[in-house]
Amino acid sequence: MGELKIPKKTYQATILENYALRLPGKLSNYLIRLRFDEKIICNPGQFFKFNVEPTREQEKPRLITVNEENETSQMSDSKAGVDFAVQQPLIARPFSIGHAEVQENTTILTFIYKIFGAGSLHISKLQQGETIKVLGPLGGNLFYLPKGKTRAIMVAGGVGFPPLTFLADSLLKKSIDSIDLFVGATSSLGLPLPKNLSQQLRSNTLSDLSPIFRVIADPKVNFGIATDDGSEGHPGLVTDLFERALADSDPEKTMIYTCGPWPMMAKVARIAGEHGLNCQACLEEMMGCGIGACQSCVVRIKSNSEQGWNYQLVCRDGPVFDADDVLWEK
Amino acid sequence: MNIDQIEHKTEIDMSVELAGIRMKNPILTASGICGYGLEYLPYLDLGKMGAFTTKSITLEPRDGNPAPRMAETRAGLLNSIGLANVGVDKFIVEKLPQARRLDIPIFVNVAGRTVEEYCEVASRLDEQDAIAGLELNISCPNVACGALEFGVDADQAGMLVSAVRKVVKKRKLIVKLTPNVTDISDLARAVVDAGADILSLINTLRGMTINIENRHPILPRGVGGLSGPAVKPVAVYCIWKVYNEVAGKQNIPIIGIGGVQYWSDAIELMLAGATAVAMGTVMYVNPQAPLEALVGMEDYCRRHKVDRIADIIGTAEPPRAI
Ligand SMILES: Cc1cc2nc3c(=O)[nH]c(=O)nc-3n(C[C@H](O)[C@H](O)[C@H](O)COP(=O)(O)OP(=O)(O)OC[C@H]3O[C@@H](n4cnc5c(N)ncnc54)[C@H](O)[C@@H]3O)c2cc1C
Ligand SMILES: Cc1cc2nc3c(=O)[nH]c(=O)nc-3n(C[C@H](O)[C@H](O)[C@H](O)COP(=O)(O)O)c2cc1C
Ligand code: FES
Repeated sequence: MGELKIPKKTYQATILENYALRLPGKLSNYLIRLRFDEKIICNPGQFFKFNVEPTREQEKPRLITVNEENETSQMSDSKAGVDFAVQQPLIARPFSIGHAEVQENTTILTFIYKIFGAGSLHISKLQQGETIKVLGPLGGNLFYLPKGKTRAIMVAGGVGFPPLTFLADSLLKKSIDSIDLFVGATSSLGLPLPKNLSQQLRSNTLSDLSPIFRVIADPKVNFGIATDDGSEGHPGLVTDLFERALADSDPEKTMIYTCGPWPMMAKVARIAGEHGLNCQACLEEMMGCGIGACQSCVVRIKSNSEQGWNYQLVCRDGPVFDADDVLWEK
Repeated sequence: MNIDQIEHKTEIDMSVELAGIRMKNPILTASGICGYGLEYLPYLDLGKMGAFTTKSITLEPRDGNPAPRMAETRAGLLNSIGLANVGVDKFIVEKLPQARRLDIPIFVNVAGRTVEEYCEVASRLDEQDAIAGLELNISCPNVACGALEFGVDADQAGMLVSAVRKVVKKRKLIVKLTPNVTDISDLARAVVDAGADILSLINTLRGMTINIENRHPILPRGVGGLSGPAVKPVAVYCIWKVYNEVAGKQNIPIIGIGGVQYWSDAIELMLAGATAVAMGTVMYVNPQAPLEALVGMEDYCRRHKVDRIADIIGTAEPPRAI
């Protein structure tokens, strides 16, 4: 291959833990920690693609059925109805890095993922000690703190939380005066947080807390929760918390970061714009390759072309974009 | 299996020859899957593959279709990329010199709206020594006034290929066929008579998927191209049919494409009549799938006491009831 250098980016990672944060089942959030036997430098905004092919023992594809409680059970093919058959997942699924412990010969990465469909369901079945093939770290344009900014406000929706905790952790290690970290979900079950978080924070038993959540207890972090149904934290939208925090913000020194559902990010971007604040948004789009080859993951980014925008790739040109540059109308 | 530790020292001759183009093994990448070449290098040593095929190149750059451009279906993938590419000029200046460093045969896929457009792109690429062959995409389902019209009518396809053949003097001419036709052998015959050196089959099948909650088709244009394991039996049948009815008799090699995921799939396509086998969708499942497949293919040859993998091409037994 001559002069071409080939950095290896496919890994067989070992699962250290993999469990439901609140209740197991559909639409709930799981935490997975992976150990890699080498040093992998990771930065906030980067993601990995998880291989979801059947593992050796399950090589012969079977139908997986999901009953009402979303406990899965396997039935013989003849009994399983097509209606509730879950498909075998195919394309590797992308998930953002939520926390990184990087040492000379090992790296431990934490991810939080939501059970949407076949792919995440497959991952949730993997046991401690098993391995999973992953690809990464991926992503071209990542979060950064512009010069002169000393305060960060982070607005997360659901599983938009992991890349922002990772960012908070890395900003705290550098120099930042304060971070407002807000996370919202429709109800408490959908929060990407452990069940007993408030107890642990109160009793200061942080060592029991998975490292991804420890930033929440940092004295520089003002943490806030919002749920649409009021089952936990502020009853209402996470953007309410954001607007409240803006009351005493200095546009020169404040930086906004957001990740979550598109309409939420669009609203955060609009509010930030109205206050003259810089904002970075971490976007998501359907991915094939994850590395800039297939042209699948396009978003419209403003440009001086005739139509006023150009397609850019979330995987290669993002996933983080300057919120001002994104064409938020869909 | 850690692919990096596998030594490719073997007594089995894995090389194949495609109309005079020597490939060190039968596996290549399908068009549109690995961009222009270098994108995949951090994940897969493309230099270990038999050949590489680029994304479709058109005369002008194209933006492609709105998102979402992909939807996963059971055992398959629907895509509607819309031939997004940098255009032939930029390709020649920026992308080709890099792809050339792979040091394996490079096939450049060509698409267009009109015969003139195909000829224009093809004649410019014909001048490029770095290219081993041009693959005409006359079968893409994802553009409005697109290439598919040429691909479904034997007369149109023959006319297009004759016109392109006149300007392609130095490179091998590959024609990629769609399975969305009544009889794929008619198309194969027409393009071979018009001067194709090699046939590629199959391209994606037209398909659609609807979100049952909001009742909207998931892909913005409704239709998309279906690929992945779901289409493999269609590929096997098309290859088998074209090999037996057209290509085998005339010594026209086939690049088999469609749903190849494991070594066993690649072997199956070769038995049906493919000289080389391209892998597409599976690259998004596992970028190292081609190298893993090669290991399994060698093993198959060993078990079946085959010294040269080329010896298995088209050796499927005839169906019992014929
Ligand atoms: C850069 C990036 C980072 C992400 N980070 C996280 C994260 O930290 N935590 C988390 O829970 N989720 C994250 N996601 C979303 C996650 O990838 C999808 O929820 C997951 O792929 C769903 O797969 P599934 O099989 O469970 O569901 P499916 O039923 O197959 O899909 C459900 C939904 O997920 C989306 N989706 C499916 N496959 C893909 C794919 N290959 N690429 C993008 N979207 C897909 C589809 O748009 C669909 O609407 C991220 C997505 C991207 C693009
Ligand atoms: C995302 C994507 C993009 C593709 N782009 C092209 C293309 O530009 N030109 C082309 O001739 N075929 C294109 N194809 C078709 C593939 O080359 C191949 O024929 C098809 O996917 C079947 O093989 P597979 O099942 O191994 O993917 C594309 C397929 C996919 C999935
Ligand atoms: S996912 Fe393939 S280009 Fe972004």
